[in-house]
Amino acid sequence: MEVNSDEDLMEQICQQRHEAFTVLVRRHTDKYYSLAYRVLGDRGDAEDVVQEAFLRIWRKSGMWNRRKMTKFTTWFYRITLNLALDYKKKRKPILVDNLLEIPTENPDRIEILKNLEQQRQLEKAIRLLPERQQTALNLCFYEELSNKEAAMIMGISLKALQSLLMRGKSALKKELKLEGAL
Amino acid sequence: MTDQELENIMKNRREPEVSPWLTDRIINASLTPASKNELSVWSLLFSTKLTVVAVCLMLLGLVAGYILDNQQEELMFTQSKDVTWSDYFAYNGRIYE
Repeated sequence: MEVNSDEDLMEQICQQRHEAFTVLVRRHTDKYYSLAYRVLGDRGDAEDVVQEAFLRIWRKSGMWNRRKMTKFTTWFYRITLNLALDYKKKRKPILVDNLLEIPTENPDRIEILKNLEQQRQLEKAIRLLPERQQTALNLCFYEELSNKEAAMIMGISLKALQSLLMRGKSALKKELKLEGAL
Repeated sequence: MTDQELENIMKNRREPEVSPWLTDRIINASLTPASKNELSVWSLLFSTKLTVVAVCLMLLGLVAGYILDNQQEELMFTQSKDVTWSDYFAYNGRIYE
């Protein structure tokens, strides 16, 4: 079963074969959780969004059209991203990130603390960006998608995506400089 | 700050840890047939059925009460030795007027 492509698994899911769904969930949960977390900044919310996204493909598998969208991952990125953005609009903004925990057993604590502070500033700076710039940076930097794929997921042109990335990076640099991260 | 410096900071961004039970949670949830919406429709249907049954029982009670009341009245007349049939019909006629 594991050697099946995502698209083959989706075809089986359309026939309500639950084993295929299980394989797909085990294969991709981490990746899509990471995206949802980047958008929402809260573990619980990110988990809820990923669960909802997977349940949608199981309960409404008719949404999948192999001829329309060639890659499952691109299609599912779009579903997860839209759900996460909807979720974000509905709930109150989260200002504190709970991701940054200090591992106490590591002897190089000063270096770790310095890195963590830098990361905290980065998280804060990213959250200050407009939503579309955040999404573009998340997809291209952290999900390591190609610009073309990211543009397809966001439903914008390649040029528009490049512009978002450029503006996002420039705003981040400015913000990090103000915070004294560098 | 150069692009390279920014990218170095961004590369250090920590990956969020996924709960080990998330995949199982999703798989188990997919095995549950009814979604929240479906459940609410069912509960609505159920409550509607209950309301209909309650109204029917109430109506039945009213009709039964009316019939029993009439029968009791009739018995009162028929079992009493002092009351004649003409009294009974006169009484009934007065009611129906």
